[in-house]
Amino acid sequence: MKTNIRKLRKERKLSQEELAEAVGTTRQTITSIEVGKYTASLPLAYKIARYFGLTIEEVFDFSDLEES
Amino acid sequence: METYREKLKIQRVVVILCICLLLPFAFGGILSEAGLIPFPVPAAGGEHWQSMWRGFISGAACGLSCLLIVGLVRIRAALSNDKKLRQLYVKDHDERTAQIWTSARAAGTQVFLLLGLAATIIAGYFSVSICLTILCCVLFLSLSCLVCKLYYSRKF
Repeated sequence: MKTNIRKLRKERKLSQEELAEAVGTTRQTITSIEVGKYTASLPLAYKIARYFGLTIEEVFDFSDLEES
Repeated sequence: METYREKLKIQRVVVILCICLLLPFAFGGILSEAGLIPFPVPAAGGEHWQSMWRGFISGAACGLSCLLIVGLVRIRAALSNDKKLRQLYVKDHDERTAQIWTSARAAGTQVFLLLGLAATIIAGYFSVSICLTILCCVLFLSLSCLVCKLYYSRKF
């Protein structure tokens, strides 16, 4: 799944480690979500979106699901 | 986090108890091999097998004890330092790691079942006892998987 996490992180000058710590996960998980190798669970997606002050749809790209 | 701290405290007690249970086996095998103390060994198999059995039990107990001691050190460090406690909590509750383990176990079980079936067929040409032993292992694993599947089908 595509996400805007990397872009949002860069805008806020946040490292993966800092984001991971803020949402209670590991840096490796953030890396995997950013490159699209792993899809975050609903609770983690919610935590990430809330951390950036956005909705889940603004952080995660669901266009693939809508097409299918 | 306090719930996790309490869970770690209980784990610490369990780990200490396990180490206390394992250490007599670890040292018992070594001391028994030197002829210093008696140690229960299988009656069948002869002196060579009994010696190997003592070594196996002693080695397994030593290995498990070492793993538990490493775990105990980690638990103690986490309980005495809030930063380490949080790091351990995140590591233990990371959803990607959990998914990796779930996928690895599922794939490992499937590989074991397929290879076990192949081994059963091949062993059938050479030894009845080995063939039946592998077949029992494969059947037991298949039944365990089925029971777990039924349990989780009801749970979720």
